[in-house]
Amino acid sequence: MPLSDNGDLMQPGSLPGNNIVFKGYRSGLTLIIPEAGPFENYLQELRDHLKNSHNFFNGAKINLELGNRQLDTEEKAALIRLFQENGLVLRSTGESASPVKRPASKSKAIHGEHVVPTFTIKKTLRSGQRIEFDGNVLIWGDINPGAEVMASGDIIVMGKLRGTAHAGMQGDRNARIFAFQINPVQLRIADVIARGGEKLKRTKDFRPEIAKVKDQQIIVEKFN
Amino acid sequence: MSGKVLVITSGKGGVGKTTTCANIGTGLAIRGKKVALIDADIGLRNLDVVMGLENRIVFDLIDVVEKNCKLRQALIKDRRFDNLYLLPAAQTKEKDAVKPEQMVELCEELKLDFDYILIDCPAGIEHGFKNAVAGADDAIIVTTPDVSAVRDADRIIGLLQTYEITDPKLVINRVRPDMVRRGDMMDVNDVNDILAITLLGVVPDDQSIIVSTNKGEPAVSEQSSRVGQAYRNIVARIEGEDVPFMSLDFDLGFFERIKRLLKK
Repeated sequence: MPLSDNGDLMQPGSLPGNNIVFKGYRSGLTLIIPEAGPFENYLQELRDHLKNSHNFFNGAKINLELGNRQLDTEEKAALIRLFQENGLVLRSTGESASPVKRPASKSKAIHGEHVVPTFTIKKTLRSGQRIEFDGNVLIWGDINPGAEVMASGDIIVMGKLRGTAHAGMQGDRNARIFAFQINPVQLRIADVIARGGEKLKRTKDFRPEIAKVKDQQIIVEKFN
Repeated sequence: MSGKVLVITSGKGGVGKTTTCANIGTGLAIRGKKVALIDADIGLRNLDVVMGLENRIVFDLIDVVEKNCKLRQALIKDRRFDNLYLLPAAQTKEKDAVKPEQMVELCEELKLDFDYILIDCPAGIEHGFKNAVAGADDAIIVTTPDVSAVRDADRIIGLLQTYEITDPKLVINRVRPDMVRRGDMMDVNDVNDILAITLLGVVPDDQSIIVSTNKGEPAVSEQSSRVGQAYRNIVARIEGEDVPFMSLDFDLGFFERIKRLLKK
């Protein structure tokens, strides 16, 4: 399960977008349950996750994001029961409480072009926060050391990338990572891994940079 | 009266939460505010020692939340300042002996009587942290200019967002200007660059703080001390005053000063 093994490489087959995700926003914690797939599986995954997190979520107020999924009364009751057993407080459901707009459908074609959905977040990701999305990720803020962003598409950071970013995580070596300063703990594109500078890189440069795979290696170059 | 509840937290241990709490509390009391300090570090209490009040403890936080005594009975009046009180932690209990709801209730009760309630948070992000932040209106994050302390502070800032504390203030403790100049230590800008929250103050590293901590007399009341001045500035900023940040170049030698002048 990609949620619990923070920092480890993704297990093959554990596709993003097929797992539940907890995300912290200014408005509070949001639990995202993917639209596709049987609800019981996600409920079981949530149960395991809460069990492994040792009361970490106790007392937390949770916004629920279900996308297009509709819950019947029985599913809703089961979810609320699970929340209560673990001391979680359900605050709201649906899109309204979350600053993030998720596309209504996973992807669609415009003029024959394949359109990849993009997840947008308007804040700095801090240590311990993690975003995982099946598509592109756009961040209006920094990625701090200790934070992680995982995307099956490209990662665009309108700020400094100082944490860990993994683009093309389902194997797309053409995926790219863009930021105004790339000074990461670790960069990954598809199955290629690059470590950040051994010593604290003291560059104060603030210029657009892009990371991509070239000859089996990740290279970072000036963007133009 | 409706007081303000500030939690003093850091994530990492040993960065000076308790010392900061004691000094800010004492500083506010010197300015005539009515202040209550709560030691939320149950099982590892320290604040009473730093305040020099250890030998007066009869009741503690657990006694209050379990209603074994009245809140007034457990509050210890400071030796020097009539408007400064301490609610000590229990030394013999576990951290989960208190629930977040009980802390909220306690803070609400104290708000009626005090201008400021400062909560000394235990290290870590587990139960003790959740208790300490439950009733807080705002947070003061203490860090040192170390990569690991800054990393933990960053994590705490993220966690505080889930408690609807979105504008925490930062105190950078134990800055050593000589090491910063040599490039051996992160400077204030490096820390600010990562954490990007409102800076409340910078406290220089000074051996005198160890002496004052051991004596149980917070440095803030020592007029001549640089650390004391740093804490007085922090207190003034909490009170809404616009105080310029003090220069950390005080220990430059004569030749260093000349060199710097020539460089400009």
